[in-house]
Amino acid sequence: MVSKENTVYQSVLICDSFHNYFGPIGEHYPSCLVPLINRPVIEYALDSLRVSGIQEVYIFASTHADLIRSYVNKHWTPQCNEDFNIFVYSSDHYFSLGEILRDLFSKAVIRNDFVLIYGDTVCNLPFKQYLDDFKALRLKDKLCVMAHLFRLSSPLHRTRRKDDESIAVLQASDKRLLCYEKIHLKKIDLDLLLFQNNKDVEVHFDLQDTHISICSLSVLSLFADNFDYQTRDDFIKGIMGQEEILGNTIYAKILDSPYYAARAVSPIAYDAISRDILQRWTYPNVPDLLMNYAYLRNHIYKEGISNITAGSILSRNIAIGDKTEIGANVEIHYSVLGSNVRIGNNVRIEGAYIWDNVIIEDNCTIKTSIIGKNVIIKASTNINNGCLIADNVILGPNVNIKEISYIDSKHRDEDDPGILEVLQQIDAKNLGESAKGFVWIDDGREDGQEESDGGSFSPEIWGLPPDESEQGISSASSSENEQSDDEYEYDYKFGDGDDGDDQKRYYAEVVDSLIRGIECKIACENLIVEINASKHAYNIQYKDVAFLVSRAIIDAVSKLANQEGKATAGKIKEMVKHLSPLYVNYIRDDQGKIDCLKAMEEFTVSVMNQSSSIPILVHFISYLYDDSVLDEDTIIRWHQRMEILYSPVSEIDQYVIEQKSLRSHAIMLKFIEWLKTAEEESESD
Amino acid sequence: MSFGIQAIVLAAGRGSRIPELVSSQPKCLLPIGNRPMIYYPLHALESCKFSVVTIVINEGQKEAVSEAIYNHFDTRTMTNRIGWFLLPNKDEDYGTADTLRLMHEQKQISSDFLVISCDTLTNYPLYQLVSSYHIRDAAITCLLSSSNIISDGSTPGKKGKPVLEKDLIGIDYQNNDRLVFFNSELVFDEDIPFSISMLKRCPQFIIHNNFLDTHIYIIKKWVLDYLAEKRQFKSIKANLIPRLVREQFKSNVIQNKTTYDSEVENKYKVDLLDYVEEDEIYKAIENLDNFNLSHVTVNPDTKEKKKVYPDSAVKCYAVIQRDGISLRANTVTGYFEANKRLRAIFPNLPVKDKTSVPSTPTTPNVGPPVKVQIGADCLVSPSSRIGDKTSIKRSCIGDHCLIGEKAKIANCVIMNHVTVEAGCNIQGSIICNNAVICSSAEIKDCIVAANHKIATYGQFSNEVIPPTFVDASDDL
Repeated sequence: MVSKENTVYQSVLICDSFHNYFGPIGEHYPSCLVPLINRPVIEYALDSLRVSGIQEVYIFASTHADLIRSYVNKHWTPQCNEDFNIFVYSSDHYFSLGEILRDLFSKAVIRNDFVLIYGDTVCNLPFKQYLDDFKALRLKDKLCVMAHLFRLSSPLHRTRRKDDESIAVLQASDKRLLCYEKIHLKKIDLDLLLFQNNKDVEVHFDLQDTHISICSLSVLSLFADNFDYQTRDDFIKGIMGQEEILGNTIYAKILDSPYYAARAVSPIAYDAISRDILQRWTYPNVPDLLMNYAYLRNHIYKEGISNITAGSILSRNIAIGDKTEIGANVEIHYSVLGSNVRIGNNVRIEGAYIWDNVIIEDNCTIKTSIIGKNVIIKASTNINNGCLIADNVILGPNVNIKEISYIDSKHRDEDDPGILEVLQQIDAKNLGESAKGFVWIDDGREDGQEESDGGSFSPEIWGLPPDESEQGISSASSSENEQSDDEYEYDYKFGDGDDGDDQKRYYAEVVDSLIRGIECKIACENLIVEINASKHAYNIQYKDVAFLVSRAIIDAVSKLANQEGKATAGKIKEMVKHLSPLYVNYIRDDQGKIDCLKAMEEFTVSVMNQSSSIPILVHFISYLYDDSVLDEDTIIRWHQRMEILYSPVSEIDQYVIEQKSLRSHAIMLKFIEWLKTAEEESESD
Repeated sequence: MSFGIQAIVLAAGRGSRIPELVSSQPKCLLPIGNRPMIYYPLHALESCKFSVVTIVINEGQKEAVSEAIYNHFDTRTMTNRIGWFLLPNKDEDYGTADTLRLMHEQKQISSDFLVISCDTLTNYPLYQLVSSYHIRDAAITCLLSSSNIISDGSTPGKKGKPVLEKDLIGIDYQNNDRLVFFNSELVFDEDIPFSISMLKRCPQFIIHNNFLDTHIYIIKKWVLDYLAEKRQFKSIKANLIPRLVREQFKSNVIQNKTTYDSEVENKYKVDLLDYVEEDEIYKAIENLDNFNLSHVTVNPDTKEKKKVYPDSAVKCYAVIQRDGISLRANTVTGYFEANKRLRAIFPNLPVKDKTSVPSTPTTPNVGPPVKVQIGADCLVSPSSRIGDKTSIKRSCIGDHCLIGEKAKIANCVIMNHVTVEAGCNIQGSIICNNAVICSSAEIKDCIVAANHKIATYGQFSNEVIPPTFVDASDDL
């Protein structure tokens, strides 16, 4: 047992991103072993943990676990002393954070508060202090289970992942997390109660998730108790949901400069973090302090001896590894070159990450791409934005690799030499004559990892011009703004109030089943069962059903009638006859009759082409009259009294005009006239 | 000093939230601390030396209101030049926005203006609000108070704690207290929608639910032109401000007026941005900025740059009163609290000139009462007669009241011409004009309406005691 005075500072390092964002490169490396400025990412993470006073690190790995284990054994175990110990656990079952933490719980190696961090994190945080702070916080709030670290960054910051945007709602006084939601749409709904029950509420969209948490031991037991918690977001949601029952709380800790933390989880983040390091935002995590790089002006870093021919241009933000040779008339901007890279003459490199031992021959152009180790790019090859080239690929000569190409040296079906040969021929056309490589195809779904990741949101693609996405924001927002102009003046077409969406969906479903019912001649009893079932599903009130169903029938019938060319009276009559049990079922009182008429009128008005739709309406009314679903009194009463239809607010005047023209349409008047005389006749009988 | 802005006191409210209290007189004349309610906004304006003040009242009330005002202000020293605007008596109630629209149509508003409601009591120095308006070039500047004391108060006539409607007010403290969210909680059902484009521009703000909207706004004149078109806007607070606040996040280039006029006018689409008039000075400053930039990026085509938050053409700002007290006497709770806290809000109110109170011969002029206990925090009108051995604590007693012997009054508001007979015990109640409380009645946490008579030994608690014999409208 460890006595209280002798607290061991512990950390859990998750070396798996549970999703391969790096395409072909991810086949060779886990994201934490990708070289970032010529140094594996995990080294940054381990280094900052060690420097900040963490004494025990538990590494959990699943994919590429052997690589991680051997890396740690080779680079860290020899130096480990009493004060910094690394333990590596690996298992194929670690396919989510939840699984890992449940396993960790059963191992019982964590004895007090710990730091939960991912292996691909670059940060410069004082974890020891955070753990002490957290301890103090837990003395104040005994039910606090987690403090989550956020970094302040503007919504357009380059390290923000568009697929990882979230909104955090905090209590202003003590930064308690009240709500944390991922954003998938252009709009987010926050619970009104949040604002009613808390006096001052901070809404943050300027927080970037660092995926670093300071956790108490109860986090592990909570994960163990709730088998459905897969991700940290599940956990946060669960804690928020059960707050009233368990009272557990989560706090947010907001990092501001000079603290830095970001995950190099995808090529976009990798690119952004590389630039941050080169521009020294991550200080002291910069190449000249971590490695043997010399720091020159314009953020150029050089290691050891590199042979750069005079006349080549190195603009700014460049790191060049040991023993790298650069030919004549070469231009390099914003790029990182590994060691032993050989670059020919007349080469232009812009925003590229070129790893060790790469050979680039003369007259090549490389833009915003990652080139893996030992790659050979033959002469006069262009590599465009967003390409990911895995280790050992050979490309060229004389080809243009188009944007966002993912190329691997091996093919998944490499055991089958026949296929391989065919593929080689196909790819030779695209990748060059002496190429060795295959276009990589994403099949990440095979092991079901994607589902556990919870992202139906398609991840951003690296390499698209950055201004495009930004323009997207402003143009989309301006158009959206016009839409949201009348945001609060609800303008649902039918129904009043908030359940308009449900009604729309219910309505669409009813129309579908009616069309199917007419086409396949399904018995009306079955249709009624179907309509009732969806009524419950969408929580539609009984009083609305008569209206919705009547509207749906005329909608369905006129759709079908118009489909077959000219709408003939006979066809309509046939269909109405088929569906008449529906009317009998749903229209039971006078209010129902009025609703039915109003529904049909509203539909007719909403249809653009009035000349054809008014006759259909009149036909409908007359059939229903014949079927004695409707009676003369109701119809005449309806015709005399103008009632305002449900209509979009913006078009209300338009609707009134059309309603008038409908009521005074010749056919309609004729019909009403006929009805009146029929009534008189029946009276005189 | 005029500040270049006109002050408008909205005093035509009918007191729809306090029907119990307004049966015998217009709302703006309800006594608070023995002064008519309208005294307080005028006092606030007067102490900042506003020179142009327009009072909006209902037709037919001018005489009563102006008499009340001149009783309390010395017309010789007053800097206010009071103008009147009479709202025609119609069945429909004029909303605050409707009132402004009507005033605009009759050319009664000639400059940017300050709107204050007659039920607002504040000790915030309004010149600070005016300065902030001048500095920020805001379309609208709202005065909010961070100390919302009303929420702790109790309400006579009702059981339990009052449930008051909360305003949800979002403020962007990163951008000089920009107002980014302004809605009543009742607008929403369960969720509050936020659009991502808004969040992108304003990524951090705080939503307060305990801020008091003092209903003091400074509004630019061009907003009236917009309001004139938007006929569906009834209220400043409920319609106009929420819309202006939302418009801040609309990105658009200010269009030239001429191009707008020549286009086919679409009556259904009223775009606020077409009405924005830029201040010339601010425009000049902006041009200077552009001039500096133009050395770097010379591009004459993009001269009209896109204006997005926080540089949007429409700007709404909040001014927050951190210390000091404001409250609104538009609910029973608010009215009651206003009376109780009057000394705290206005510790230095000028002593009422005794001569200004018309003396009524009916008041019998007898010697000073004996053994009376009147707390230091009480306001008792000198024209009232207090009987022997009475005890009055934390209460206001209006003009010409008669308080009988051995009566006990605590935490009460007693309006004018009220008779409290001997031995009554009244606590936490509001007694309206001309009410009579017969001897030995016990009343706790009640509202006694105007002209009502409470029988001897009557006992009431937590009730609104209705009037018996006089119709409200007769008395006006």
